[in-house]
Amino acid sequence: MHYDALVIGGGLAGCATACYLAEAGLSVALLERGEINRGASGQNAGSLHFQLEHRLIHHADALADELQHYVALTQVAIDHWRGIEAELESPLELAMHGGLMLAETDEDIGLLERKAAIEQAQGLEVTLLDAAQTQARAPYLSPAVRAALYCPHEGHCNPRLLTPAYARKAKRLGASIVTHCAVTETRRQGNRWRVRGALGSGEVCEWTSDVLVNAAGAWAMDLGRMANLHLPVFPVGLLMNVTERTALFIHHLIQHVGRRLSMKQVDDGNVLIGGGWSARLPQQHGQWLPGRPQVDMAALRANLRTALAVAPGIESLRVLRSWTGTTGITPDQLPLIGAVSRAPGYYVAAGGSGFTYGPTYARLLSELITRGEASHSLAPYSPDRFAHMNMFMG
Amino acid sequence: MRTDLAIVGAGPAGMAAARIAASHGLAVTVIDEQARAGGQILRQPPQAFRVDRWLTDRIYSPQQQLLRQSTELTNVRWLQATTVLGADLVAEGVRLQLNGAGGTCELTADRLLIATGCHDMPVSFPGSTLPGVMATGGIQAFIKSQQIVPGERFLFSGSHPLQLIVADQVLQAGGDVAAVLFSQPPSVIGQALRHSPALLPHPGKILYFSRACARLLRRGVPVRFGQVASCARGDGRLQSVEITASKTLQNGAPSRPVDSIDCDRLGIGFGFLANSQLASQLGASGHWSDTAGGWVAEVDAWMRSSLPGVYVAGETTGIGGADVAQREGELAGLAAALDAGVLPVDAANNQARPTRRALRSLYRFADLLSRLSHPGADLLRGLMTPDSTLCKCEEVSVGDVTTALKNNPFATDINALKLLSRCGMGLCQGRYCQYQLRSLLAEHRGEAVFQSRFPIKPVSIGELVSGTSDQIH
Repeated sequence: MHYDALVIGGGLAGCATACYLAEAGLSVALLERGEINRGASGQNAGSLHFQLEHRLIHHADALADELQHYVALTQVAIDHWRGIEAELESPLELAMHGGLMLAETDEDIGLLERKAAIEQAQGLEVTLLDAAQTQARAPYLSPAVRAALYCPHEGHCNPRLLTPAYARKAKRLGASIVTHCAVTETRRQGNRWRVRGALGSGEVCEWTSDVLVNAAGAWAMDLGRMANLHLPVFPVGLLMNVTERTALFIHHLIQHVGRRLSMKQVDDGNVLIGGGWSARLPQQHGQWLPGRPQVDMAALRANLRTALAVAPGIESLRVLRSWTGTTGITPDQLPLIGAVSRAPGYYVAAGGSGFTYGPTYARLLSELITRGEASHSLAPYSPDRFAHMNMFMG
Repeated sequence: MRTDLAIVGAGPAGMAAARIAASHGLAVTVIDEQARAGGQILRQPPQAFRVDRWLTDRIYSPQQQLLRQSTELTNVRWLQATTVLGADLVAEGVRLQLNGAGGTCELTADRLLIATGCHDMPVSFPGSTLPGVMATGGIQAFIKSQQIVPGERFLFSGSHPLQLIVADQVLQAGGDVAAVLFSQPPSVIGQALRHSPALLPHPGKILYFSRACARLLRRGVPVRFGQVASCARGDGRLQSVEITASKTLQNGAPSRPVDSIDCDRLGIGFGFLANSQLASQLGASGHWSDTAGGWVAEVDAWMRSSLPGVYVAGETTGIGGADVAQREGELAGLAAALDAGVLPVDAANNQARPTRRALRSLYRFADLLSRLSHPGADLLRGLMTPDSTLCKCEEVSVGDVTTALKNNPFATDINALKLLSRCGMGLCQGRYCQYQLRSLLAEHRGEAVFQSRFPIKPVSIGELVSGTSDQIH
């Protein structure tokens, strides 16, 4: 069976890219080894964080050009999110009611000020609040919080709902969605890609396409290997916690500039607590396994302690579940979005901040594929920045 | 703190294993959620209460004897009123996260026995969440522990013979029983009799059931076959129950009530599901059994699970009753001593021989009981109208789930369905809806079950962060 484009990976990047490609009139098939949305896209905590992350501010000097680009892209993403429920014709429990990046120490405040200057210079809407202003805006926060940077666009969206909504729309637009299909081979043959996969029934299928999109998330490197490519995306295990439902009292996305924390309360009343605490990836014979990472109790307690320190009201809430997921990171912390020149027709969409920026990355990538150029440059994310790794590959 | 053998659950399996392992010199720690040992079979009254005629029937005497022996054991530490929140395998063995009176703490054990028992199978039907609709086992727990009759006029609906026992206990404790309904046709009695070789070695059990039946009939309590409670009605609390012929629902036809009975308590007794969350959270291998408890852990002849140093005994390996659990606990206790190197293999085999012999006959009885007392998937499915509540924690109806399935044809797996519908995402982590939810999935059902996560039972953030390692001394 021949398609204009084959997308491998049924997470947000894959489903959204398949959807936009189908919308542009391409014949598309999406191949997923398990079920739609069962990886990081459905396991993350659904934060929409537009403020520069902690890790990026620390390298602000080295990343000056990238940061400029990043903040500009953020504006595109914010506009995209504002219209996404209408675009997908699905309620997604989207809330963009503002986020606070907290500071507790002098050092934290210094970082916040520096961050605010960078962001404001790039035109991102952020306001620095002192202790009293923070208390006035968020009385549920501890008096230990001495300052906060407020961004009115931040919030959350339900990761349980977003990716299936893209998958449904892709299907409506004619895309074929094949689940329980493990891709075993991707091979360049003439000017086409030939892909083999094993279905759950054991049946082996084969497809050809002009375009191949690697949207395998944390496992993009493994899939890249099948095309004789080095795609530096490394899996990392992360921890998240959810409490029982309670009356709404946390009205913002809460992050911390000096500590690992993200906290929010969703429409149903559950409080979600995460922020980049690690979980141990399963491995065997020196290889990472795709199973669920193991909860690290020390990390779990530290995560909750961090949350409790800034929001004392959560103390009596019961934790329903601590869960882990696997996401992918790249050596320079920027995602891989775009074409691999070494392998014509091969595109990648993987690695980093995939929920907040996922829909926008997918739309821009589909523009790059169908028109040869994206409406907002994807240059900083081009996989070709690692082209030296593929000098002898492809 | 550490221990040689941690046992989760102080029912027949846990107590028997503790007794054997301690007798071979292992330091044993038993962790149990209830205030006093004994499990569900011997629900003990609170320490300060005096209950006359507590479980006087002979059927309870093997477990009562075990309980007496257990409480006299030295070398065993009992952590009652303590919940296991989760466990993971570490270099030293198994590390358990506990939540007890003193907050949360960690316990490291060389070995772990999971003997967590079972709970009543919940069933969804219109009105199943109305106050007054109870699990039959729940009604029995009130009577066993404190001789409290939690209602006035009882109706029992289900497929498990436990219904007869509990109805009899309600009568003896002073309650009124309107009727006992069995969903199976009357021919189920003939089927049981045809398997008399499996029944005959257990005259005590047969006698016990027969006496209960005789007392019910003497008091004029109707025992009806081929009927089921299809709808519970009432204004804020149960007032009446609609009865439908099982056949109608099994054929997928809408309920056509043949009768209505006024009552303030409805006991639901369709059998039991294994408490397999700890085994699942740890990552033990298991398989699905429709008739013997849902997801049950796989064990070898020594009750070893697929995980090193982790054993499973009792209902969590498949519903078999208290006698099976007790014998499996004995095997697990021997195995722990054997694997710890304190019991030679020949001695272990010798000591296991009478237990294995007893188990062969008990397993035959348990298999027959599981098979004959299962209501069948068609009946359970027939009871589940679109409005019936499937997930009580998240208030998800059967219709919500079927709509999610229809709208997302690519979702075929129970965990994907959980994400789409919220069914199973609440306080109980799906303990009470997984069985029913699976029945709505057309394909890819296989062995798929909800992934149990830490904490297996909810725990407050305050309790969690206060805990550190090494608090038990």
